[in-house]
Amino acid sequence: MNGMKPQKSFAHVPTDGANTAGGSSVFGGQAPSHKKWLTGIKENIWAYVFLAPALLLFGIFFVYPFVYSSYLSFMDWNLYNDAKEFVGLANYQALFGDPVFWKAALNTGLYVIGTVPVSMILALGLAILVEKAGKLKEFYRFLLFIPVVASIAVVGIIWSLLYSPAGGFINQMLALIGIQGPNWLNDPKFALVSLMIIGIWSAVGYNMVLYIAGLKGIDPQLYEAAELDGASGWQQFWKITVPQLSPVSFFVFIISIFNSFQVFSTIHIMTQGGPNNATNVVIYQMYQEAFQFFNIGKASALTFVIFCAVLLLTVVFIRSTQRNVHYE
Amino acid sequence: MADISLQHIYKTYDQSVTAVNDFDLNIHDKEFIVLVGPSGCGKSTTLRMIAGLEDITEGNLIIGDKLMNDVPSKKRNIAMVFQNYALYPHMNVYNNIAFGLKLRKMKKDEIEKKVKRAAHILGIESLLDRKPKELSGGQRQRVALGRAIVREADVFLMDEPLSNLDAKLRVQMRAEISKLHKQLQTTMIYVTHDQIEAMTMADRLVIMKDGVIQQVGTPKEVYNSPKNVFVGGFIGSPPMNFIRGQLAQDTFYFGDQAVVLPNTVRDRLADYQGKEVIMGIRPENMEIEDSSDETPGQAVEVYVEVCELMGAESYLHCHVAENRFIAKVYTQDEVAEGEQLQLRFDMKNVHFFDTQTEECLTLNHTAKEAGKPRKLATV
Ligand SMILES: Nc1ncnc2c1ncn2[C@@H]1O[C@H](COP(=O)(O)OP(=O)(O)OP(=O)(O)O)[C@@H](O)[C@H]1O
Ligand SMILES: [Mg+2]
Repeated sequence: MNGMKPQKSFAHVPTDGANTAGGSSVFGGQAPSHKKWLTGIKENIWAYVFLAPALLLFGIFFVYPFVYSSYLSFMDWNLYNDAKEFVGLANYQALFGDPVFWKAALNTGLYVIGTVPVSMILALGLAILVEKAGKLKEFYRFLLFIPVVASIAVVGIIWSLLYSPAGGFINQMLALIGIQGPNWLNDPKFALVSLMIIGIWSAVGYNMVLYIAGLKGIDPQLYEAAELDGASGWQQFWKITVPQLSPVSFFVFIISIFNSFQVFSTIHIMTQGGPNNATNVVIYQMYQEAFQFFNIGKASALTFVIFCAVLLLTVVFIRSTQRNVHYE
Repeated sequence: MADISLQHIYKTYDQSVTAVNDFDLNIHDKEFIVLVGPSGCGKSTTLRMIAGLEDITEGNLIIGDKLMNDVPSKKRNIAMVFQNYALYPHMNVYNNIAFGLKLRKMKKDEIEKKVKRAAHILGIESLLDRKPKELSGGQRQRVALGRAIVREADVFLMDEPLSNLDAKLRVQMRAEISKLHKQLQTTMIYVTHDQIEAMTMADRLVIMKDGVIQQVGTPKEVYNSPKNVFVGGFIGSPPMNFIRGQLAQDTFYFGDQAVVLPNTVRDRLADYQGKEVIMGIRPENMEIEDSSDETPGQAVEVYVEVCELMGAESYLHCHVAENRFIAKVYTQDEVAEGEQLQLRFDMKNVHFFDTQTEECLTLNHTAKEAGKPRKLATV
């Protein structure tokens, strides 16, 4: 009702009078907001000063390479001379027409699907067990964290020994129960699975530590309340522990996906993508294209495709999981 | 629906800390029992042992006619309200209240009926869709009560449920919990360290100190007949005053003052002639002497150190020689600091305590109706 009155009186005012009134009000409105913006900068000047190094690094190590490799993805370049030739979408065409790319994409997907859920579930289980371990808690936690800090070379040697087809520990154990173990790393049927096991082994410790932190953050009285409400241990796990850990799980999930997506060093050390591309993944293919075949353009195109895929995944996951994540 | 019998219960932590020491008490069906005592006296531990959240080191816990020592919490049919409420943060109010019912596989519409009814009793119907973090302290407290109400448990335990609320809300919730107790007709055990809460809500109080029960009784009993110095000093606000002095014939001497004992008291103190004793007198049992009054010998000359006006009454902080005490007098007249005045002690309501054991020597000399628990008001 209040808003109506001035409008009515406006109707009686001649047109250009209304214009000037409107104009001056727009001007009057803008001046203070402009000032506000300035004082905003002044107030936050220190924030920008402190942010500057991070922004600089972000520019040098992310924005510049991204822009430059996007540019390279339209070029033909062999890394050794300066002769770059613009080839349009030829690199993308070559990539999408390359069966190795599709194989690598599939392997990457399989690797992510095969490692992430298992490493998360194992990590949660171990975290709960370790938390209940009493005096040996610290020891178990240390033991399980070793794979996280072990150098990749050591990891490679240990697992090569374990997987060794004849004298390897795993096949010896299998032999004890009468099974003849496969040639793990060189059999196309088993090579990717073998790498997944290593991936799980090295991720579990890290995820476990995150879960332990999450478990410590749960108010023990919630369990007491649930107990009195009549919840069994299993019900307490599903109704209290799992929802209470959802922010941690979400974090672990995203981190694990990206780590698995970027699996490289184990493959590089143990299989070099073989046998017959059975363990080739997108990041490894990118490396091969760039530094073995010197196909910088195609490698850059692949980089761009990976970037888009990761971006898409992130958005999808954040959108779809947010509803089920309970932040306090 | 259940009597609770705690028979000589002990709780020892790590084989060294005795948190509860020979706790022996029978709680009647539908009784409102308040455990009260200073911090660390073992109230929560006792409550948690009843709930089954803590093992009983020694002694028997019997609920109804069943030995409960080794029965897991979830089978004891006990509801508990925690000090910080322990609401499930990821569930809305409705689900917080319904949780226990859902676990019991109750039908959906029945659950809804019960939750709605509890919400109605507690006045939280409009909050059912909210998460605990979107509630005020008082609202959370109600949800915690709601969660306990719907369970229709045999026993209702509350561990300092009001301690996180502001003073005004606390007074309001105090009355509401008392009302709730009458509505629900369940045995309630309530823990607090606030003696006002204890006095106003309890059918019977259990006053504890260092894991040991000091006294069990109705609010009136423990107020009128404190068993020892600790109880006298703990119940009442301001607390009972304790004055050390000598007993001779029928007179109690302290500093340069003396008061004459009534017969009932003197008879009990026959063994203490010529000995030192402690006299306990409540602040409200002293008044400023009216100069034109009879019965001499009861008036005591004191020095006023501070006078605090509380509204209708004033607290006079006084001393006689080295004995300091507080008198609650119904006057608004300004009393000057350092002023000397005559206080009349109401000797019918004094208590005497042994200086060594601090036990009351004149127990029940004032009481008219001791021993029996107060009749429950039924609605
Ligand atoms: N888990 C434990 N381990 C060792 N000692 C404990 C443990 N829990 C409680 N105690 C000790 O037992 C005694 C009683 O504790 P309790 O929590 O029952 O006290 P309270 O009366 O509830 O006090 P408050 O009013 O502060 O809650 C305390 O001295 C405490 O230090
Ligand atoms: Mg306590």
